[in-house]
Amino acid sequence: METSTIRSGGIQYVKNFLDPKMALKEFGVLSFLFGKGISVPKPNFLNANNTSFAMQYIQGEKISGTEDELEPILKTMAKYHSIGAKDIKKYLKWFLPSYLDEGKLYSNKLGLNGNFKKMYKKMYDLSDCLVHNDLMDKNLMNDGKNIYFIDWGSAIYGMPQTDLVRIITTFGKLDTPYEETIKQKYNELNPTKNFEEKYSLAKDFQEIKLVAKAMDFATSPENKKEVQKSIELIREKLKC
Amino acid sequence: MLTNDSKKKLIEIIKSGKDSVNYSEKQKKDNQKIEEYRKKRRSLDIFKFAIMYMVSLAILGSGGVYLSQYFDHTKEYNQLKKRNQDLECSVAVRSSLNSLDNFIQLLDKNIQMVNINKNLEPFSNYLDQKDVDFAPYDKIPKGSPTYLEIKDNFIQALKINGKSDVNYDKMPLSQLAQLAREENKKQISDLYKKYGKITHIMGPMKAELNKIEEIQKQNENKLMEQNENYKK
Repeated sequence: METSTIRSGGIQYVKNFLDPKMALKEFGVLSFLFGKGISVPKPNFLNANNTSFAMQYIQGEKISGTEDELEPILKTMAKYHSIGAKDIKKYLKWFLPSYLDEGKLYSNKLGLNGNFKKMYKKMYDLSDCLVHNDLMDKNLMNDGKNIYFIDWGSAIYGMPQTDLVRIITTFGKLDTPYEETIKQKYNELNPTKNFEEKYSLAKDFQEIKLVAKAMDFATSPENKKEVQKSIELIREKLKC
Repeated sequence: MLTNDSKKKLIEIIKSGKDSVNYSEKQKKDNQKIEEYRKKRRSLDIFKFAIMYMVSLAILGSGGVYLSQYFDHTKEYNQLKKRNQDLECSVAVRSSLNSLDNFIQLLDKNIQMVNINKNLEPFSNYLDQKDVDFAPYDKIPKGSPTYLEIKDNFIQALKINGKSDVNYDKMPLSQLAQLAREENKKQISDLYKKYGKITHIMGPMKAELNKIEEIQKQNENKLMEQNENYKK
């Protein structure tokens, strides 16, 4: 899917897509963020068929998960989360999905209805910024100077807390005493209304996503049982 | 919603699932898919191009056929128009010549009628003659009113058709008659020469025809008056 080639002007990282819409989306988001001064790889060319594009190749490694890295990541997050909803709606909402799309996917997959629908509709109403939506260690490249946010393929129009939950999970601080301090730090950088409500919604949604992902990888009957258990737990909690 | 244990287990499931998948094979499959997709797309592109090419060819072809037909039609139309013009002209010329012939005949008849009407006695012998061209002008006594009238008629006819600078007054009547006849024939042959090949003759021909018609009418009126006088 992804190959790197050497072209004039340095090493280019070429990303291929099956769906032209996806290529267009990622290229669009990268161009938008690069223009806004966010540390993302510079997008260079999009081919005529919209099936692949070339971008700056970042010579670095994925983040190691130390606490020194957390602060610049939170800063960058706050920076791109604070881009006005107007700008995003104007330039990106054409090809950005929302919680409605994701929610429908998971409700079909896990058989969740009722309150779950209400939940993701509420999240949709509270959406006001661009969200990376897949902030794991693999998608954060450290070249020694900067931390680059790569792989914007699953970006959505949503709540900043979604990224926050994901990054806290990545750093292994979820459900630990450090969770609150990280939340506070972020809230200082990008103060938002209804922070706690949004955070809890994002956390719940993240868990549902986790279950949905585990469902894809569960092949043995034991694992399947485990996933089923988790689904039932969620159903109990959401009363649906 | 979920307990920490169940979360850990789920993450383990995901990790073990990811480990069990052979990524190189997966990548190969993905690459194959991409290749297939590209091939499809390329074939679609070629198909589209072929269709566009055919459509453009068809449009160009039909346009060319239409244009050639148009030019053929215009050529034919022009030819027909020319032929039609020629026909019209030739018809006009013929009709004008016919009328000229008629006029000449009438003129001759007029002259003869004048002769007959006014000098019945000396010319009664020649009334039975069919060919009026052989009228014995030499036998008409010189200076007589008949002689003068006939002479006047001839001179008028010659002045209309012939040269205006020739002094016709001194010529004998027979010579005048002959000249008038020759002049008429010349006129006709000239007209044939002039208008036989067909060009834009309608203007000058019409003017001439109008002249002729006027003279014809005048002569007819004269004849009618003379006849009426003669009857009385």
